[in-house]
Amino acid sequence: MASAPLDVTDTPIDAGGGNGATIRLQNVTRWYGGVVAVNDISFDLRPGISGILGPNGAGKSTLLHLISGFLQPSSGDVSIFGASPWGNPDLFSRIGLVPENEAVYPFLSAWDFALMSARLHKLPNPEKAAAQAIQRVEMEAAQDRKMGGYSKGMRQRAKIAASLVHDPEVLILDEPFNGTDPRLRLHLMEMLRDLAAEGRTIVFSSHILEEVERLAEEVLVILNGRLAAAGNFHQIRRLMTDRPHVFTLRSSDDRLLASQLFREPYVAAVAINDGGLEVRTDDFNAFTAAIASLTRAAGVTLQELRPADESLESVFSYLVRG
Amino acid sequence: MTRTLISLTLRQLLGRRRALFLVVLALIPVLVAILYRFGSDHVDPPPVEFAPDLLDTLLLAIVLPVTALIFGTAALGAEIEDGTAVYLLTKPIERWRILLVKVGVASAATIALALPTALLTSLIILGGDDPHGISVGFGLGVVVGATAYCALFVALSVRTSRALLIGLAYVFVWEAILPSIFDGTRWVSVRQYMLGLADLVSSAPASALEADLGGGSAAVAAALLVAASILVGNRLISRFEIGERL
Repeated sequence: MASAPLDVTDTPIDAGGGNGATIRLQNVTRWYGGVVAVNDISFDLRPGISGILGPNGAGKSTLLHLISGFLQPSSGDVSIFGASPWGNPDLFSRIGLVPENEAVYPFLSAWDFALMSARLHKLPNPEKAAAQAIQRVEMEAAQDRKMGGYSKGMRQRAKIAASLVHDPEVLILDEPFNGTDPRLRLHLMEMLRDLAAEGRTIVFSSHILEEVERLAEEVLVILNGRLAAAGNFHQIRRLMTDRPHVFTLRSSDDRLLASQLFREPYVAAVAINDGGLEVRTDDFNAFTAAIASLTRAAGVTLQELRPADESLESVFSYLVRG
Repeated sequence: MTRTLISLTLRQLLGRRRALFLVVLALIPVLVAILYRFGSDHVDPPPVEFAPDLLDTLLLAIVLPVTALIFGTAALGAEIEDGTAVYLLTKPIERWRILLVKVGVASAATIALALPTALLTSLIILGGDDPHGISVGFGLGVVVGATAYCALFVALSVRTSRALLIGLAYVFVWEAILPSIFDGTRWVSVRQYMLGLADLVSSAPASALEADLGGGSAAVAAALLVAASILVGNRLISRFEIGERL
């Protein structure tokens, strides 16, 4: 596994100063006892939307907690607007955080929650700020109901409203689309794009590739606590789709099918094992388009065809290997 | 801002079931006092001995510490436990202010339940005639004791998710059993501080109220415990890390 992250950004990641970065991590490591959760990570985040992508347990939440000052780095430096967030609650006047935990105060309504946040931020007109935040997440109709009776998606909206009430320059969201229905997800994505267009730095985590693809301009791929890749999403995605794909097949005659497959230019390797055939192809589209006609022409019945390496983790592993 | 914190904490503490349970608990000494007043000959034991004995045995040893434990661990520890503390800790508010409000509200809620119990219980037993100042002495003990317990339990709840269990062990093992075996434990016993202060203010007979600590020592020890709890609690909440509580 390569130790250095794969950098496919159009403009290389700037670890130096004075580049307009609002969030900066420099060689940040975080240990939990003998386990390293985040390992020597450096990056800069600027205004716009950045997505932290990785499988569950990769270290995404730890990274966001380090950025928001809820964890102290074991080594390295984290800074937001040039100041360390650790032990620095004043920074929260410029930061909004939407935690992954769906817990809310069940006895408060969304309106109470947003108003409470506005008052705790010591805003001059808390009622107006709360109303604007509620409007932004389109919760006016349900704003007076107790949050204890809310669905997961409504709680998420209430949490986002409370985090936006002070108009933060940096918005940090931990798995913000968990539990949201497709309509709400689209709405939240649109809202985050609008917020980013206003010049905010938005960073969110997700283990869903498509969410990051649709929203993030910059992507940080985290695997096993390491920064596996960073930069423009489309280039990372291309790397992912261009990589060799592995399929597992079972048929009425595996040996005959293997001999047919060997002749195809897009097939890189075929192995026969107890579970059937393992086929490696360099061209995902060509293989999947041709396999049905190929088996028919060979007089073989295809009993099973499944991708063997489509999990996000395998994609990440590929990226890490570079 | 402080008013918002107070209001939020009060709403958290005074959930319907919790409040009902604690009101019923606080009424037990009053009910025993009523039974004594209207169901005995008031000779053995006489009111001036029965009042401090009942207040110590039921109020100071059970009702007050249990109430303070429930309010103290719920004021901040429960928020940390369920994850809602993040909504407070992501505000530009000094952490010591959050801690002080939590201790203050938990103490006030405990006093609001235990002080009327102390006054009613003593006045009912004594028939409204209290020349020894028993109600005032125990009232003072309740105010100081509630504050000390709450400061201790709030700090404990920031440190560990097992604060309720540890608090119960402190009240029912450390304070109830150990002082009779190890003399030195009285210096770290809120119950002994309360008895010392009650003894200092009232002139109840020694056969009914005998404190192991002098009033002055009790006041100093209680002040030190409150200060130490707030200092430690502030350090813990200032260095609070998500997922790091024991």
